[in-house]
Amino acid sequence: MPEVRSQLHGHVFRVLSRKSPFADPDAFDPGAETISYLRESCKVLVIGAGGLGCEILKDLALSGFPDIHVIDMDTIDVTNLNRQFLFRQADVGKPKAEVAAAFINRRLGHLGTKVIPHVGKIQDFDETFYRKFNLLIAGLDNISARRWMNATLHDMVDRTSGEPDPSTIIPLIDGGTEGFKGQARVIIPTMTSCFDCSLDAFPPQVNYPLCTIAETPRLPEHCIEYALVVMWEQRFPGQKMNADSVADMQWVYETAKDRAETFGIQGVTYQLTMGVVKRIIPAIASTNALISAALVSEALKVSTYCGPVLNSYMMYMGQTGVYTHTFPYQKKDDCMVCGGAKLTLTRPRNSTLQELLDCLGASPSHQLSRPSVSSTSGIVFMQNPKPIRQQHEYKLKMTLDELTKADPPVFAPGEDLTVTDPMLPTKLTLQVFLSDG
Amino acid sequence: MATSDKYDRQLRLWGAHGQRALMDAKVCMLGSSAIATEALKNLVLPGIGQFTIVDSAKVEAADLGHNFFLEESDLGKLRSEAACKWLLEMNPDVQGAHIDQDSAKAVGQGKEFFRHFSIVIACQLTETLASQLGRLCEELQIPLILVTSLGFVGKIRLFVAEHSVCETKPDSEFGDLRLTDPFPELRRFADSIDFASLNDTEHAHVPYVVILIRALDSWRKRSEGRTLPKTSAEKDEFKDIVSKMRRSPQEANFDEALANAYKAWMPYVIPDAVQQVLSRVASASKSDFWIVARAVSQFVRDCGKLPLAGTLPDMTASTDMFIKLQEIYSSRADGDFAAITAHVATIQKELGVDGSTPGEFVKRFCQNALNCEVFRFRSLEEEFRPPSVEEGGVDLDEELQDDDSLVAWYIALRAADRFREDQNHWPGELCGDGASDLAGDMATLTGLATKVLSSYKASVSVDSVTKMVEEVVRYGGCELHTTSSVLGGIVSQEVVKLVTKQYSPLCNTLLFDGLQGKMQVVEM
Ligand SMILES: [Zn+2]
Repeated sequence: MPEVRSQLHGHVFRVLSRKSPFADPDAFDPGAETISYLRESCKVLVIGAGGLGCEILKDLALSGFPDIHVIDMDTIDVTNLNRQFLFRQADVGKPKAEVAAAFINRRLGHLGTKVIPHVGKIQDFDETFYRKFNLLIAGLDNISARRWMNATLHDMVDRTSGEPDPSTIIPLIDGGTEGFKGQARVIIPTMTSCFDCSLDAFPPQVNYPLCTIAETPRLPEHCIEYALVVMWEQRFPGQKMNADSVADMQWVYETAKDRAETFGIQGVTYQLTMGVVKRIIPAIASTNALISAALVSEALKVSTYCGPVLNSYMMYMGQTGVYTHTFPYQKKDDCMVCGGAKLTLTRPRNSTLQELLDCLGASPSHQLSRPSVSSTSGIVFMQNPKPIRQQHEYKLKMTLDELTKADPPVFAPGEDLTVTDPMLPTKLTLQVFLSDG
Repeated sequence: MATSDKYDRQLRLWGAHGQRALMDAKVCMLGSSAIATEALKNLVLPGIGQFTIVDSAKVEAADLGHNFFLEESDLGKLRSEAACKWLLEMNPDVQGAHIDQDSAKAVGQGKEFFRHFSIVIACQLTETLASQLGRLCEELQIPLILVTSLGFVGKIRLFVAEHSVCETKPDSEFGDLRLTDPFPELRRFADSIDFASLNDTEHAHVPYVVILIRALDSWRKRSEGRTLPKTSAEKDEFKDIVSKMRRSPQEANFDEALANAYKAWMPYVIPDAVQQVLSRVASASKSDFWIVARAVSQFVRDCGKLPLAGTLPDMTASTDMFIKLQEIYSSRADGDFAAITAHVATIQKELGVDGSTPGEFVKRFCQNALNCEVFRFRSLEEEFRPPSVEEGGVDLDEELQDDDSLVAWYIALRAADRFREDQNHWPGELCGDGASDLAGDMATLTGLATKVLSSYKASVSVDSVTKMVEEVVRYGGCELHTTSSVLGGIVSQEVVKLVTKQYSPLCNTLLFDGLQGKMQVVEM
């Protein structure tokens, strides 16, 4: 049988069997040993079984990776079908991870490929789970999940001996797309820049200020947002709008349309309403395919050393001709995940605690969502649970000067404070210094 | 599920008219290996009209390892037929067929074979065949995409005799606000705002368009005879006027006015690409694009400007003022559209093609007149008989000395094409894996690379491409799935751009280096 198997993977095995002037000669060992590592030992985890994930699973199997796991919590929607090619009309409503895995196992079973699905959130799995893999590939459409995965892998690096233990470093290959644009990158914890280093490269989410949508709406989007945020709550107090329900979407659409008419604003359509409510990002098969394949090409090189690895970021833009830019994304010294253990901030003495928390949330390079802070002497501020939050709310309006001079002080300037936040898998150390400015 | 439209996510990019064009397209695919099926996958999913796979190859074991659209049970069967079946399984909206023939035979049949297609894609074709096919496609006015996938590297070449686009959809746009020379309705509106009488809320909601027009008036009054701020001192002077008009630093509309101040000092120009279009209308065809372009050129001759786009970007403003301003721009645009429509009718009469151009298209052209462009591609025969640097050819000496350039791969791939033409197999394909096994093909390929280089009259030595030549021999004709999938992704993206006539196609060659994760577009 090895005869047939080597024929099946003839194309990949040729590349793995011959020397290359581009591969690192100390790392790449062409021939049987490299092939057997790929075929017998290498275990890959794919995060996401959506537009990128479906492609990644196919690319991995057809690049010779036999042992593949995939995590996804979502179910299949009809709007996935224009690109998520492992799903059919009849699969709508079923879990993506299971349907995708079953399809690959059926179509490519003869390659000895086995895809194992996990239906759930990445946060449901712990380090023991992630430690089983040699490599992670992420094809996620949301920033917070990508941040969580990135931070978790950095946290898993063992530094007890002082230096990072290489056997605990798991590379993360990450990609994303939006319309004709996309990006692919290789993150090797402690060695390259990480996902958080590039946070400010992602455009901030569109947010319509409440005063605009309430008082001076100009665009159809403003009317839709107002119908969704304000008028829904007035009409259905305490009830969440379900963006997957046609009836709910129809209500928001019609309400927005009425509102637009009273202001003389044109252009509220059902399609636009869906786009605003669900914050839809356009997605097409071609971009997903090429970004995913670029990721798996890196996976093959990272695992076998058969060629140099992408250093470290490729940006793709396909709208005007094809424009790409490949460059080493620089590590950020103050990166919360890889830039060392501490985050240091200097804040005006007379600014408030609320402003400090806002600053952690608003800064493009931090982007925390609901930070809680504690000092050695106790809680500075806690978001949850509600009764505890209420006990500490009075401090929000106090200045940092007042807080540090209180009796006893809530915290001391320069002291190591611990920040926890839903966006961070682990704790962050924060030092706050006061300035007179 | 709030919609039942599976194409929702792409309609947001190319619209219903783009989707209709896609559904009318008929793709001819020469080849059925991984590169062919990967490109087709990304066309079948968004709902291309029809595809036809042309190949006589039979499914071998190695195909199963890198081609997703084959099953174990297809072993030994006709590959084009099996691939067609599995591609169609993805989307019931699409029609597909296969023809049991190799590329050479298909090309040998001449125009008759390709006449019914709207675009041709050819995989792994060598030079002679590519040139022949290029000639056929030129005569039939069908776009051609050639693609080569080898190991970690690849190449895509587009060829269309002429490709005209009005919806190029650039990433960033200057817009068409006419601040330097407001049309009468806009001028009247700007003059009607009495800043002094506004309360603070109203003052903070005057759109920046009005602020800039009025600031420009003040600047012109002060600076005898000068029409627009040119020097940086003059620009500072202008910004200073804007700043002095504001009542408080909290006024967001004034921040926007300062950020957009350049729109008030950039003179109105018709972009070069549009000038090119307008200069060609006399000799052009009777297609919708050229009929409207001709009408636009008459309009420009009369008015000195293109038809107004009519769109107003969002800006801080009261609802009332924003809507009024929006109406002013859009009714002016409607007027320009009516004038163009009248020109179109006259031109159609002259050409004897009454009523052939849909009004919807005329409207789109008017809305995008600032971005319209015609793309021309060098023929393959010219590419293979390379023009000098003076004639617009690529400067090989410069490219090969540049570490960031991927043109060395182009030379190595061209040499591999010639090798295949001579020997009917890829360099390194029939050898063992050791260095001594590969030495013979390495020497032959180096010789061919030298010949390719000398056709460019470049002074650079073949040493600058030795590593690439060696790597090409290493690949021995292997086709990695990932490389084919990257290239297939780009090919399908270009097909969508060409058949929908939206966005700008790549001109004319894309080189992909999957070792470094780099791409480069060059005009070869
Ligand atoms: Zn970092």
